[in-house]
Amino acid sequence: MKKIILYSFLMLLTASGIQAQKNVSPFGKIDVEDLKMLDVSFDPGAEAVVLFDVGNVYYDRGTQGITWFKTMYNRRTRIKILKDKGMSYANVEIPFYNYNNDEKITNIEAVTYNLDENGKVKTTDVSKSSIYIKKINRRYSRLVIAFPEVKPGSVIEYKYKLERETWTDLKTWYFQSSIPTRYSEFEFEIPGLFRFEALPNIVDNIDVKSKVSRQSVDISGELYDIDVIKKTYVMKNLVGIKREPFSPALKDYHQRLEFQLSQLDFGNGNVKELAASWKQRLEDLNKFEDFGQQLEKNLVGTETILSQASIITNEREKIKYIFNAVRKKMSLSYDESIYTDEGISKAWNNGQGNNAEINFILINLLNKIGIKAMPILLSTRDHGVINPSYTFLSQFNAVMAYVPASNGYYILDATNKTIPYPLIPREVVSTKGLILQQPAGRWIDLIDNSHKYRVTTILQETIDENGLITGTSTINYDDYAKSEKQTSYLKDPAAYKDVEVVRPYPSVNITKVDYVNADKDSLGFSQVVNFTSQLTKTGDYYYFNQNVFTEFLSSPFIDDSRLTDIDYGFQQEYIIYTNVKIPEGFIFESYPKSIVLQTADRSVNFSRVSGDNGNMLNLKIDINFKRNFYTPEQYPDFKEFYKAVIKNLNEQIVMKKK
Amino acid sequence: MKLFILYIFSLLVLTETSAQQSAIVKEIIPLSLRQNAHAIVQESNELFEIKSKSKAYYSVHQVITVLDEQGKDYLRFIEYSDKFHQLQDVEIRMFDAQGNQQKKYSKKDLISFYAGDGLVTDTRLYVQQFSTSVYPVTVQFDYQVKYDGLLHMPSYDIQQPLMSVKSSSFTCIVDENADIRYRAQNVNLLPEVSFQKGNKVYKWSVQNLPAFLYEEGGISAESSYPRILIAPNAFELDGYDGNMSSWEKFGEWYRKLATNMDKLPADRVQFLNNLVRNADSDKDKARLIYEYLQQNFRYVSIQLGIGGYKPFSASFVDDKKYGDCKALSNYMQACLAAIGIKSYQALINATYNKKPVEPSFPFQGFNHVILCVPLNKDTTWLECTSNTSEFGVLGSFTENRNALLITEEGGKLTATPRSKSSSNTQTTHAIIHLNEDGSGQINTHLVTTGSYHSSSFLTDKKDDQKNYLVIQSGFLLPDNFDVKGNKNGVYDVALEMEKVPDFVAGSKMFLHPRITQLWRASLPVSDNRTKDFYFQDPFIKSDTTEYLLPAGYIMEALPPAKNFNFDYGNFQAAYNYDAGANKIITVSRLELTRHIIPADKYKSMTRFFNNVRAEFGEKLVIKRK
Repeated sequence: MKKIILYSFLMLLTASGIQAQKNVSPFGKIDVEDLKMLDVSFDPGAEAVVLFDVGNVYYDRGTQGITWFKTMYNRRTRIKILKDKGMSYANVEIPFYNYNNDEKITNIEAVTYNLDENGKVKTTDVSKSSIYIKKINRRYSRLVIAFPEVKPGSVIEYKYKLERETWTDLKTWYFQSSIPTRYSEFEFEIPGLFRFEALPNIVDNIDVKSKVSRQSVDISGELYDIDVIKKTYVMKNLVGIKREPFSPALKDYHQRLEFQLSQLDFGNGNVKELAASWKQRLEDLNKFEDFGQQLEKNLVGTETILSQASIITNEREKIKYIFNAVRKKMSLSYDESIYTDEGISKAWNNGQGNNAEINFILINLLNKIGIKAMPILLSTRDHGVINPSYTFLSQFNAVMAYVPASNGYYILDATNKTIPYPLIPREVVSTKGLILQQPAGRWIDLIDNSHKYRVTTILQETIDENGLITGTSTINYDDYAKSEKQTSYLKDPAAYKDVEVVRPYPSVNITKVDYVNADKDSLGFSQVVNFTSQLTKTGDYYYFNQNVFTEFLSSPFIDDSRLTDIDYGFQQEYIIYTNVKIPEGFIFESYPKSIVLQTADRSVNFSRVSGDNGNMLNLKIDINFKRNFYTPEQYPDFKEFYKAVIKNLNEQIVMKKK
Repeated sequence: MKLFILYIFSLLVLTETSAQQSAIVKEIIPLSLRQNAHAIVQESNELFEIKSKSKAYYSVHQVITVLDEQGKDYLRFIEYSDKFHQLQDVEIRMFDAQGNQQKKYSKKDLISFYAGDGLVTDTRLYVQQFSTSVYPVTVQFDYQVKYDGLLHMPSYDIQQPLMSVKSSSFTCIVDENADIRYRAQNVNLLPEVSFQKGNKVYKWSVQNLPAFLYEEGGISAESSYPRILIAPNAFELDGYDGNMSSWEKFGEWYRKLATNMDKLPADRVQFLNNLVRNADSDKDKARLIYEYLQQNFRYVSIQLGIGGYKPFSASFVDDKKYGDCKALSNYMQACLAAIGIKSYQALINATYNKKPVEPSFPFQGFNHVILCVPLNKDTTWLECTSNTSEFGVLGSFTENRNALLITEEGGKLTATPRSKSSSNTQTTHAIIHLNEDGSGQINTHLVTTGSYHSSSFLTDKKDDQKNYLVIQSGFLLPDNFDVKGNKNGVYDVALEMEKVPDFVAGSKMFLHPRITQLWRASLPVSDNRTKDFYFQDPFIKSDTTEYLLPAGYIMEALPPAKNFNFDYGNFQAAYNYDAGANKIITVSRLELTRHIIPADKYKSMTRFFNNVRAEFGEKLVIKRK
């Protein structure tokens, strides 16, 4: 490896550039039909469409001392603006890493196309005065192009060259984005020496072409003939995918190719494996100063905690004690790192650290009292799904404590101040994690079907002769429901009461609200509301709505179709007991019937049992979501079901005077 | 125009930074300062030293104790920095309850990123949120800002919600001939004035101010809390000399910035004249030009240095077909001039809940530019950044304000139009063909104006249309629908519903009073509100719903007519049965006559809207014959 790398390396026949073909007309030339186009056949109503997006990558001789090669990208993108709403796509921002000049953007050209009054194509060049560099922070900047002469109907096009002073990683190519893409092409032309693995996140048709050619390459002034591998990937007619209610990381839905350098092939069977195995990655991590080394540290000032913990005999309680002590003491400086920043000793002294530091402290202390605990690498729900065959640590954005237990395991995150012990945190439940366990690590699916989002409501109402309703609603929130409600309550009790209890119910007069176990981490969180209200009367009928203090006032699922999953992460269980007492002289005219509803695949169900004994009515409602996510295919059924649940909950109790 | 940076907590200032460690441990905080307080300003000293009309130094020393998690917002540092306002030495220290220093930060520890939502800007924000898990915690801020150019001066922000103040002061030192002007806002506080070597020294100070609560939905933050505004007389910015002692003079300064920015190429002048050649009146001509701009130009925010205040030239905008509010207003003015119509650029502080600038206190509080076309007693105001606004309609973004017209005689403060309920309307007329099985076909004529108007509704994706109908317009959730219309604002909406009734009980159907719910928002609950409440706009929403009953059904019972009122709103609903046609007709109308509700009317307002929301729970009862 060394031998070759020390040579300077120049490819004489570098990438042939982007080839003109039927889907991609040359820069500056446009088919009039694209300017006349009013809508996108495969994604009607879109505000803008990527007509084509083509990129290629190849290697060139490096310009900085340490890098022998640099990666060169050419990118050309053409976008049609269809509506006023799509005008923002004419403000193009290209991020780049400007630290140490590691990335450079050159050869920028951009044009706007319009049709003039006579139906002729009018091309406007984008001059330098419309191109800016916007500094984002110390490391990143954005190249900003404000396209002139843009209105709905216009087409914009830009191209540029990006030089990166690296040869070990290739940028991910996204075929798809939030607006539709008609044609996307990525070409990869790399000497056979470098073997990249392409990791696809692809569901639709992709066209792949591969070609090996012999090219003359200048290595330190001498020409060598070497194999150059060229691959071309093409996808067409991809719909735009945007965020939807309860959708997970959007990037999981944008089809893409990721690349990983796996081997160096020196020919004649001489192949050098690069650190591509997880085993190797974990070994490196364990030796790394900001990771493995931290776990070995001796923390000063932990004696009291450790000795208190060692008195506890029950292992579960012992772990809990340490967990609570750490989360009580430590505050979070910033999140989403798998490495420590200033180290756990300093963090412990300051009472403040990043998420890795806080959880390493937890692991460190658990180990000190003889509890087996180790880091688990995770990617939170918003960060996207992990592909284990892709051995890049950048897939992870969280590290927590994995604690094996007699009846399974705990996943503990000491940065979470309110999560009930030992619930798997919501942002990682039902995702995949990598336990840092010798020798090669172990993958685990964090499935937990025993803990759900659980809400149990007891609603008791008594009505007097004047139609005054006096009631009490007692709600117990458990597991994930507790975690969510308690967090929101502790953040601002007054706002919680206002938003959750008072505001949604204009005809309910809240007389008292109590919270039980608001500050406890292991008991369920309860909310007790006393209220009064008044029967509504129309003609001879008296009625009232008992759909109060539930989470089903209206459906968040209005759209007819969906492209992303509904990703709750957990299962849900709601039980509502209602007990209504009506005064002498009144009789029930009707009340909600006993009924069972379920989706075709039985993954969601609703049941209601009702009955009266003259002046007393009892209802029991059960709503169960038996999956932690619902796919776009299940959506139409799911949406209808949700609507039916709300309709049923809004059914009212109707009374008459005898 | 540059967006003003709102400081989450005010800028505090320094007299002398020395030996403060021990002073951090404070004696017991009096009860009066604890009530409603989540943070206490122990000590705050700000000093603003004006060296010349373009140079000044502002230094802040502040010690704040945050008592609990709910005061966490006050553990945050936010300051902006740009060419005219450079953030310098920053030192922030945190102390625990015993007064031991826990942490220390300097400018390099702050997170810095570009500010605002402009596409291009050189203003940067320096931010840090400090965290702790143990309260109380005390944080000390010391920093300096160097002013190069004095269009803006710091204000003395005395107090924010949930924060009490033990001791605080603001000192301003200025050459006695140059002097400053000041204005107290939401507080009665006069400075001590003294003289030192040709300088005039103003000092405002306060002690022991109890905390007050935060109230949602009030006037914008910078006008909401106790504050002293200060402003220059003569000033300079980037070499442009100005004077703010009167609106006339301040207007002159802006006029100078915009000089020679109005030239259009001859062929464009010709083109514009051609465009309006068939129009009869100046108003029609202006309308044609405005619509031409809307169709061909777009808003792009580019703010660099003096470019935050000085417009791009008309020829630049003509070339690019874009600009920000200054550039587009300047361009529109140039176009109107090219066809012989006079107009004035107008500086304004935009956003529905901004306070109109005070006529008696000239001050740079503007963040937007619009255009005023006098047109022979038919003054027309134009918002030049919108591709969709109706000609001559501003909306509450800039209505109800005082705009500074930039005229040949300097600045002239002029009121913009008042918002009117009749400009923001949603009118629905629905005919529901109800079937025996509870399903129904509904033909609806929908007309929207002003803030209810969606410029994209007709061309939106179907799911976006559905969201507009259900979420924005309050329609019952349809199973299917179809929208027709020739222009935005007037639609025929055909809806299908499998279940029209709210619920069915035995032989009876209980029907919603109408197809749209006229009011759904829940308002903050408050028994003793002290601040006026701001709605986005005044409005009128009306709905006529006709239920054509299936042949086998007749009306059984209807609610009595409703009539709710409060000082600034009214609601009427009538429910009638036409036995001959076997149909129920409900007619209802909700009007909010003004969008600012005085604090003392707040309770009656929430009661009113609660009644309106509860009315939608009433049912029309029909039964099988």
